[in-house]
Amino acid sequence: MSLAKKLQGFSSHALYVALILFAGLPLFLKVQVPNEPEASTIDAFAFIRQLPKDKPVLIESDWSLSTRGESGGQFEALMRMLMREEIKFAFYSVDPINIAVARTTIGRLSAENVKAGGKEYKRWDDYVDLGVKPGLEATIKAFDQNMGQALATNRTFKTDGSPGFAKDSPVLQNVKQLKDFSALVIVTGTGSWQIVTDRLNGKIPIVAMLTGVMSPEALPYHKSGQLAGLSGGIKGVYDLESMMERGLKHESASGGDKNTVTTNNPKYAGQYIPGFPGKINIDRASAYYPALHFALFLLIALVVIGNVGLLLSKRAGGN
Amino acid sequence: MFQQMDATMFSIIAFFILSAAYRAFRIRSVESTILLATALILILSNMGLVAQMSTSVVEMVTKGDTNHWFNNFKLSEVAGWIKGTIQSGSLRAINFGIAVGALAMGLRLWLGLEKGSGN
Repeated sequence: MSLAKKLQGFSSHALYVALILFAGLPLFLKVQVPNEPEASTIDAFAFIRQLPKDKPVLIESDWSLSTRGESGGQFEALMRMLMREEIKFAFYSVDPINIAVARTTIGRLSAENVKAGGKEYKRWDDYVDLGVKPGLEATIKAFDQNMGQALATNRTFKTDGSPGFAKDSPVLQNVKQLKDFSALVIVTGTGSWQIVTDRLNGKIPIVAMLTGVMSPEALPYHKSGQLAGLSGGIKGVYDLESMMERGLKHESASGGDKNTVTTNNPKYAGQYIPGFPGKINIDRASAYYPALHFALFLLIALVVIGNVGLLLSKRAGGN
Repeated sequence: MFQQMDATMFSIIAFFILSAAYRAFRIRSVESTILLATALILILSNMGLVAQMSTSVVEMVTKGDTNHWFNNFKLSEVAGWIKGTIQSGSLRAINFGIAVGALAMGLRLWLGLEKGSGN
């Protein structure tokens, strides 16, 4: 077999082994890769960091372990920011598996928060589990038309495990309409973000945290202002973690240090938004981002090798 | 158990993407070359290390002048332009097309113009 044919004909098994090595080995390295956060993720971070503390946040947690590298990291970053600022929240899922994952993650991060000297996030007192909403279209319509009534019939659990209605929770005492929430944050690995964004546009600020595959589709929604912020994929998580560690400032602003993420977006003129230095910020994405680098490097290298093979083959008069 | 199987199924996609990209991304025409070049820029912009290196090179050329025209050639700027201008515009066109098509189809059904496939 000629060199040109060899370069174009690697077996699938060889490629799979190479990917296992390239993506697997970096998982054991937790290194800080240099990074320039994307504009849409900067908006998401700035928006979440500037949420008012006296209003709860509504969260749609619609992801399972299949997208934990991306959605899991985004949900963890969101929870850490809310818990550290002691912002209360209510959450729901569209799928019974997804809500189980969200419950486990909240419990784990609440314990982490306590360990770091923060408060324990208690179900009912600090957050409300609105449960599974399989009919998302109807749920969104109910939230939009009469949030008070939707919460009045929404059963949930109190801190001691006894049942109660969501409207009686201290978190939702002042919530009568959708706009009584400060924002809706959607963390999802499905297309549910589009259903929610299409129907609630202009009624509540929406931040979307999506997988890398889905985020290009959401970009026009961010550019048009329908999404207040957008974090996409592992890069989005790494951007969030970077800003949680280093903070964010406009290039004209004072504050921060040479490591602080700088933006030239005039929207943030004069602003310095601090991160959470000294706390656990660098976590999941820092383990996965180098692996993504290596996997992408392998992909580029293979595409180049394949094309070199094609070129050689053409020169030799083949196809 | 279902959750772990869910994660396993999803992760398998990476192997197929790699294999498919290796076999399909070939420079055979002008169109495929444009597609490959665009994909390469976006992939590289997702690699923070490469994006940072490109910024360093540009800053070396511009000597830190933020108003220099060469700043537009940072990898992050080029990728941002592709996403913000070409990609967003294309996606808007696709979404408008789908919406208009759905509206036309709805009207045809409503007006009884759409017959069953068997007729």
